[in-house]
Amino acid sequence: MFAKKLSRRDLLKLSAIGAAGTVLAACQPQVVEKIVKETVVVEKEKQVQVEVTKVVEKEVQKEVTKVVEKVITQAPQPKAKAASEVAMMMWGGELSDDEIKQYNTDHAPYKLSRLDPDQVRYFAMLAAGNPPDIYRLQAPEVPGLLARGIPLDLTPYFETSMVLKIDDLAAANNFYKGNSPLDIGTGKIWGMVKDWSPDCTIWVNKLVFQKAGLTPPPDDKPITYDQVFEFAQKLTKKEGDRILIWGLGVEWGWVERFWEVWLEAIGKSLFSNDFSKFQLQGNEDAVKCAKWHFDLAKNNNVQNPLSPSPRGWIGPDFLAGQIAMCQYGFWYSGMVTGTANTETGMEGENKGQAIMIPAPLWTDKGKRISTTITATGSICSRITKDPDATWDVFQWYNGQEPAVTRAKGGWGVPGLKSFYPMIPEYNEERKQVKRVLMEEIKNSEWVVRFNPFLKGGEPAAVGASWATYFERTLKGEFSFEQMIGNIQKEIDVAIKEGMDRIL
Amino acid sequence: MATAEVAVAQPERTARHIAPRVVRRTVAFYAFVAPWLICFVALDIIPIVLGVLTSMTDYDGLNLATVKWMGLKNYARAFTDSDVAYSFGRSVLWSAINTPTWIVLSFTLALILNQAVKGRDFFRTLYYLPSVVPVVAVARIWAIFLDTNNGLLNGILSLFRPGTAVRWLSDYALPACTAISVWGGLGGGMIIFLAGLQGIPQELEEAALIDGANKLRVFRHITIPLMTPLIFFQLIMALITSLQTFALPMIVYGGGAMTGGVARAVYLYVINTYRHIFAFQRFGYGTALLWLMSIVIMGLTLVVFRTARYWVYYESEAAGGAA
Repeated sequence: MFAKKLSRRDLLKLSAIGAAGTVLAACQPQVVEKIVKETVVVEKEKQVQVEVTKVVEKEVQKEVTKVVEKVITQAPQPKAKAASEVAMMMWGGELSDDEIKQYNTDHAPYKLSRLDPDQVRYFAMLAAGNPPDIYRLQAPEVPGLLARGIPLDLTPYFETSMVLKIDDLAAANNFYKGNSPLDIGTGKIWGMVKDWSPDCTIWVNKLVFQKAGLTPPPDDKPITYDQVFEFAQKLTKKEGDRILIWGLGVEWGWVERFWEVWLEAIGKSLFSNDFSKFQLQGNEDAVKCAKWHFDLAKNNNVQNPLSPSPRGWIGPDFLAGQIAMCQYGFWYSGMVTGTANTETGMEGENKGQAIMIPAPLWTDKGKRISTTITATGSICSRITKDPDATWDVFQWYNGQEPAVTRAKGGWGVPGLKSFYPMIPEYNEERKQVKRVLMEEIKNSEWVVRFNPFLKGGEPAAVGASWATYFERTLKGEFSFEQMIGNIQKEIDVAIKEGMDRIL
Repeated sequence: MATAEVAVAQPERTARHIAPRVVRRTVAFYAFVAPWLICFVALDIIPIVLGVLTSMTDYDGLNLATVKWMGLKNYARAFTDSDVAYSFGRSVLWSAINTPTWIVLSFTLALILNQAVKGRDFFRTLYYLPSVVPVVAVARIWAIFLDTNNGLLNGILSLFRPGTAVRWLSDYALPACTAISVWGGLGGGMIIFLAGLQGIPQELEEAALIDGANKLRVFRHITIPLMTPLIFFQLIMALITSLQTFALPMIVYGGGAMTGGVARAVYLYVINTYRHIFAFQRFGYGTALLWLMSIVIMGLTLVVFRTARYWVYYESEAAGGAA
């Protein structure tokens, strides 16, 4: 195999090749290593970069957290909620079990419970020193309760609330403001309306007008009460002694509230400035107000004790077409036009025949007032065990989910102006009602005077006195003037008693 | 000496051995009566005392902190209040008409349905039915029936004289409300009388018939005397209930009644009181009025009890007398 002798040159070549090979062989791993090393470095750099980023982020986060914590600790801290039970006197239709359940879930550990409104129970609870934390009432009750120190001053809560902003409160809430029971309208805030209604607006059944050959009154400008009277006479339909259709429907329980609105429109009042005097007898303007109602009843143009409602109250009688006009306000739209979820409304041929017209004017020259005379709402008890929890419920009920539900329901004008767009207008009837309503709201800022020395709400003292003598006067047992004299005497005594108790 | 020792030792032994038993019995007694006693004191005695105290103040439901002592002024005021006198008179009249009418009619109905007539069970159920209807429903049904303009009764009358609109609930308020009240309570009265009639021993009636008495004499001399304890009970209950009548007129006259707007003929005492309390916030005066009515009711009950010896027949007394 090796027959040829290896020369020195060949040996050198081979050595050179071997050496080169060895060098090459030796060099090869270094290159690979270098490449690997370089790659590793890059990866390492990347990792480091990631790590650095992480570290930096962590540090930044730490710093930010520190700063935020610092800011938080320096800012005033909301108190930790302690478990509290809040009792609210409200009808089930105005505060549903589902809403209560939702509140109790969302606002834990606060717990809300509901009681049916009941004056006897309320008085008893007050006497026991354990009144409901939130009490449902109407505006005429506010001065009397304020005079006795019952409600909690909610002004500080309103001032800081992000839900119930003072600027957003509808004018009807002014019935819950006041610095004294004698001066309601501005000042401290004691409560607010759950919803409200320009109560003097009138519902008109166009079909009854049409059948009587009359043109229904316009819905874009107010008529006068004289015109209402005239319409009521013409629209009353009789058969022998029977009344088939009454021209007008009136809520007799509100009678003195109407008089007060009419009198205030001409700069007068049923009460003296300090509420110590009842100004009916001898007050020509006030007597005229009472006479307006009395004459309508005397002529059977309106339901009265001698010609009572067949269904117990004017609401269903209007729906059935047995009353041509009904002075009940916007809240009644819930019954007349129904709501999104209810089928109620005008019955039979009367369906779609009802329109709402503006509150009439007592005289052409008087101020135009289309305010609420009920302003149903709530106050919080001054001796509530946990004012913060009570406010939490109050704020939720009047400005959050339940308030939204009520606004969309169409049974009342929301207590917050920002909720007005939610008032329903899903059909033509609703659109007409809303159009009239939005115009009425412009004249709704008037706060009617209610006497703190007399029982307000339902039943109210003046209304009770009127009711007692009404039937007897209609039957001729008294003259109208004697009836006025009797009411005057009775209310004089009641005011004196109220003053003795309060002052 | 021995006698003296015994005499001294005996009480010690008695105290040592008997006292625990007496204590146990006493504790047991009080433990058993305690629930009733506590409830009686908490739910009767305390409210009665508070009620009496309230009637002597100017309490208006809200002025507990500033309430003033009035002494007997509230009571004195009641005697000068013309509405109190009028409403009391109406309540007495209401009671005087309502009580005998109800007793006579329910007793008559019980007598009829105690006979072996065809469909007896059906009629017993039918007549009892109004008693299970709540007073609110009874009042509303009748208010609709008697309504001036749309009532069924005037509707029927209009068939003969078109346009008839008799004001039943105004011009005839007292008889109309009495009819409603009696109709609603007839079934309850009937059932009690029926139970009494069924408790009369058959042999007494049979013996009388054998002796030649006719049905009328049996009724007069056997049925009536044996029923007098029940009539007495019904009379007492009816008197108390009718003098306290409140809900029926309030519901018949709807929302207006809350403010005293019931027909004047049925402006009863408790309605007047309600008006004072809830429309004028005269809790003190209203409570005094209620106490006065309680006194009247107690007095009347006492009078009826006193007369009982002359007309109520108790078998046990008769048997005792005979012995």
